Amino acid sequence: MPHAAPPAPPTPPDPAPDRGPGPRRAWWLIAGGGLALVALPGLLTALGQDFYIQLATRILVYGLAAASLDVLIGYGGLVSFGHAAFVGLGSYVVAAAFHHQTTGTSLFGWTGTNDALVAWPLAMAVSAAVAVPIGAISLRTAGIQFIMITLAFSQMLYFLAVSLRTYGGADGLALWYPSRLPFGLDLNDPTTLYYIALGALALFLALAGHLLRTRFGRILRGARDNDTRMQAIGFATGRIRLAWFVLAAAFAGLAGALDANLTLFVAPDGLAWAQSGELIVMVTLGGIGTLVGPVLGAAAWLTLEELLPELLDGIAAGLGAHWKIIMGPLLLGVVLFARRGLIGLVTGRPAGHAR
Amino acid sequence: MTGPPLLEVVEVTRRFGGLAANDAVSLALDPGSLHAVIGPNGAGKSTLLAQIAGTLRPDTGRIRLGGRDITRLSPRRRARLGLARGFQISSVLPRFSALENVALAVQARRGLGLAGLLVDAARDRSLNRPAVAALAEVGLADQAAVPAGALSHGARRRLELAICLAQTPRLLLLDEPVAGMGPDESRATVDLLARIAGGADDRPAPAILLIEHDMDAVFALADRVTVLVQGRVLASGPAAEVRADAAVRTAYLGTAAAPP
Ligand SMILES: Nc1ncnc2c1ncn2[C@@H]1O[C@H](COP(=O)(O)OP(=O)(O)OP(=O)(O)O)[C@@H](O)[C@H]1O
Ligand SMILES: [Mg+2]
Repeated sequence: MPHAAPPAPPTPPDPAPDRGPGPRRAWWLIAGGGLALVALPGLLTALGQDFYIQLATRILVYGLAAASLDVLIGYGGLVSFGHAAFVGLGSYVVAAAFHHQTTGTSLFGWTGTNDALVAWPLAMAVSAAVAVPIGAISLRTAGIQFIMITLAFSQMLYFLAVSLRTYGGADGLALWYPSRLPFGLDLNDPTTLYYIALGALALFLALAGHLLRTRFGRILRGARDNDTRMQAIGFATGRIRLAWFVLAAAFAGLAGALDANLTLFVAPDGLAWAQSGELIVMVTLGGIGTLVGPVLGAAAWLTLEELLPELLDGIAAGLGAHWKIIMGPLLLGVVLFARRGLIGLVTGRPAGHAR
Repeated sequence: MTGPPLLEVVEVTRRFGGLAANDAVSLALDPGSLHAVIGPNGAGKSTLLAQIAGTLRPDTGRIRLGGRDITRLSPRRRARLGLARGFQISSVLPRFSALENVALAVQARRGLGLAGLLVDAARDRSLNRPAVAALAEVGLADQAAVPAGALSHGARRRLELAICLAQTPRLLLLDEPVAGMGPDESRATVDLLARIAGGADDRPAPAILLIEHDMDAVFALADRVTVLVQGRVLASGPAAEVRADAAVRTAYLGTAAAPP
């Protein structure tokens, strides 16, 4: 033999098999959780705590944004650090449409709208459309470069929002009232918005969960595992990734449209990188590549954000302002000890990767 | 064989810094033939294969497949033209089952279609049936459900062959497919390669470009042999002639290739 046979490469440690997203084993969690979520507003009202319906809605909205980001991070291996820009963009579309309609102004002849059935799909469409060039350019890179370039694009959109005087510049834009719904539904009732956010989240989880298991989704997951091999067998992995990037941005835009209705206020901060970072934290906290996990992550993050300051102020006045001191170690703990995130604690699945 | 060659490599040169890993390398492959490339470590064999597959671009020279210039085409486009490739270090999807690895190769050939958005791919029999057949052909049927990352080295090597088979290629590029295997597995794999080279009912015989250090394997399988030394073609011709070539014997077979 001309040379010694190379040693067999070591078997990678514990390759968690990819079975696609699997609500099959977590079905009870989804069913039980779904029921609880449906019953929640009634429960809170009965307890006289209906103030928390808004917090719950916020969790659903950010859960949607985080879950759409998880499609990219967990199933595509694409750590986008600019996802909040698409959320913020959706908010701005709703706010701008409202602004033009209520002030009687127009944008290129368009006089705006307050109709949810027009403004919300428009928010999704604009986020998706903006994601096309951003994705096409960003997806030429990988790894840390992809993180940086998505961050750079989102900051560009942030500064664009700051510079738009018509829409309040750095101060943002307030909505006087929420979008108008058909069938006599009224978004001034927090419960209505809650159920709509719940429906949107459920729709996305079902759609993404399904698509990730199809041929279309398997290409995304395969390219995450070994892009070289995928291209060697003839897949246009770049185009498939772009399609998923745009899909994720569209649902981020929907989350933004809902958020604008929840807070009745939009500001450039919503597009900034810090907001994108929070979404990544929610995904990590809840469980990367689990789709449902990031919703738990959003719940944990937003609940603590709401309750910790109060709690700390109770211990010592003024301590509440430093709530992030507690949040940091808590996040560290989850990342270190529950490698599948909070969902791993609930379902008891072994540590590993996206399935 | 008559007719134009399937693959033509014309004066391909590729440098890494000052080193010419391939220096005006030319070779031609007839349809259905098996052409071995041998040479000592660092001779530039893998570099040549990478340029044919499209993951490396030549500095100068042309590569043609079926008469068509593919020098500037992406690996993906070349795969679409019927080229399949095994890597020197097995390249599989570690977190997917062996079956899914092969089913993906079938899927790549079939495309997306409406089913691509509606049907659970893991249960798609139109993908799984050919994949099972390819796995059976390489002797991995009983390990179909095992994640590729958990397979033994040899099994992963054969899985890569199954992936290539599922592509039903016109041209198959293999980089040391039996390296690192024990004697039994190695012998079985050489038999397997002979079967692949022979084709089957549902699959015409592909042309195979085989890089291999194992001389028994090379001379058992190859119609023609090209000897590469320091990036240059030292000799090229029918296997028996190359084996008898004095220059080859001294440069490669005689000295460096002496069994320990
Ligand atoms: N990406 C690269 N960058 C720099 N040098 C490279 C690169 N790839 C290969 N080389 C060099 O080019 C030469 C040819 O390498 P190549 O891998 O083609 O050899 P080979 O014939 O396949 O050897 P082996 O039998 O060990 O696999 C070697 O000297 C190698 O170090
Ligand atoms: Mg090599």
